[in-house]
Amino acid sequence: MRKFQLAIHHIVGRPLRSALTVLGISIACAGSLAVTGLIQGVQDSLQQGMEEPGADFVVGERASFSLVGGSLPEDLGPKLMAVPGVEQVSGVLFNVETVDSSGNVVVSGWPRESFLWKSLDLAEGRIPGPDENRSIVLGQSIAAALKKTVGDEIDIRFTKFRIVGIAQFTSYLNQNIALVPLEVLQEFLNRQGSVTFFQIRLQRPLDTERIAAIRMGLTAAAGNYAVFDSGEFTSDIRLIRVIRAIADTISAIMLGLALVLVATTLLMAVNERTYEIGVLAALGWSDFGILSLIVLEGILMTAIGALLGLGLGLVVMQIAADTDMAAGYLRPYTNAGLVLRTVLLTIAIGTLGALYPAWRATRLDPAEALRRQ
Amino acid sequence: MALVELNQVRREFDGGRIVALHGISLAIEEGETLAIVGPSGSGKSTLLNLLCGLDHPTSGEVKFEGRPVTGRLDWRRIRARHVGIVFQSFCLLPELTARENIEVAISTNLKDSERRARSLELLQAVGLAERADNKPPRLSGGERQRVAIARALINRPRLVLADEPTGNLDQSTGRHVLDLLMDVVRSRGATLAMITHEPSVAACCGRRIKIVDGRIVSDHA
Repeated sequence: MRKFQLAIHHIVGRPLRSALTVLGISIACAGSLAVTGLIQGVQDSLQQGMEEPGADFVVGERASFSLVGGSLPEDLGPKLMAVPGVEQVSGVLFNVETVDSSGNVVVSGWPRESFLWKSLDLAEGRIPGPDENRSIVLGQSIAAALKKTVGDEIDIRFTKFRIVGIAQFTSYLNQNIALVPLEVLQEFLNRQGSVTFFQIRLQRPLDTERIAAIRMGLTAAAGNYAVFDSGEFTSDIRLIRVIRAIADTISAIMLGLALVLVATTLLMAVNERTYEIGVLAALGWSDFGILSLIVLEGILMTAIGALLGLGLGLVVMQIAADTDMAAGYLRPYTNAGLVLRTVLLTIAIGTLGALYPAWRATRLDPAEALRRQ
Repeated sequence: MALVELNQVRREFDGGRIVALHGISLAIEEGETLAIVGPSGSGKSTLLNLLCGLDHPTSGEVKFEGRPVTGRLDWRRIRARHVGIVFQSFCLLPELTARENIEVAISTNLKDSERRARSLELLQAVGLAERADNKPPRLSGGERQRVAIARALINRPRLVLADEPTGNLDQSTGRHVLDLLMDVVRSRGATLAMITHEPSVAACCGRRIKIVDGRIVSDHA
């Protein structure tokens, strides 16, 4: 009879308690995965969205509170353009608006002459013409979600915009974006002469030394503003960092609850099985043998809970992403690293939770334990 | 050299208010069969527990193979390798089968097939091969005690301790179990120390000691 089989016997022998413990662990694991995955998904889709138009650098505010929170003077653009090695500069104004009184959409304003319009992959329609002030291009996902096509109108803050094009994007952020000319959005938001950030495209070909030199030039030209690559820009947004910290805290609390759950269940099991542990000690089982048997039970329950929790976490993320308010912002996000981290963390927590009951089991006096038959 | 030896062993409980054993000295030689008799509460079970480290003396010394043993971990090792215990109440794990109850006591690293073969061989020896896959609740008292005897012998122990092995059995089953225990112990050359209330059971052993009020009052070969 191996320890593994004995541990399985104990788990199966108390099916309801084991099932409830596993369920609790899986909920904790799912919660941890979901909050971490959703926030990583937001950051990832922001980063992909920034990279997609082919920009190499972003000039924006240092530690901006949110993606839409930056405010840079539009006339910084020509100074950045003058830096040797810079091919294109485009100011971008970002805001989140309510569309048709139901969902939220990220509205982005691009200058009419921007390289960003030129890199746009249109599924149908066209970009806004030179004199069109109420024309809009939608990303394919938001167009589908709103059931809109070219020629339809959408209502943004009680103003009607005509859809002139549907653009195809690969990034989740841009699939849910609405694009208008920069001056239209500036007027709409009453932010004339201001942009949220600049996207910079460098001349090709690129090599590392040249990129570093251009970056130094951009930093000098940007003055009080900072030069980022897209990864740095998204991770520098304070709101993302705050949400990440909240997510990590919630995740830690959930896993802490899993630890308490495992510890409670195994303490009960050790108390109930005092006699059995006494028998094993009388048979000459070592302290390590008894300790590892109890810890193994904890690991097994936690591992099963972690695997169930992964599936549950994906379902929770999907439900969160499907809500109207989250559309375009949240999406189920996992990668091998996140899955591995969650599973290992959950199992580590389970092992930790099992250690105290296991230690208690080794401290039992076998003669006293055998009297409890 | 004695296999196990007690020198002036005293065991107190409840902060000294109860004295179970008053400075007992006893040497058990290798291959000996010893019956420990005495009235209830005389200290027999305490003595047996001290012989295998399930309990520890308040004062005095216990030696195994001539070496003093004091540590809990040392006793665990000794019990795993050299001692088999048969309890009055069998002490089988109810969720395991008869075979698994024996295998759980195996202290050496063996392949699954070897573990199974060794436990089945012992079940065969105690006449329970066909009941190998039954769990204790489905076994009679006599069968359970036979499983316990098989378990006690699985590591080929040098010392077998039995605490009233027939105490919970009817006379006929008890006799059968006792004969079996004596047979398997003798055939394996093990040493036996057995607590009993029954003079007929004690008569099966080569040496008998009587304990009264925590003192050895007689010791006869």
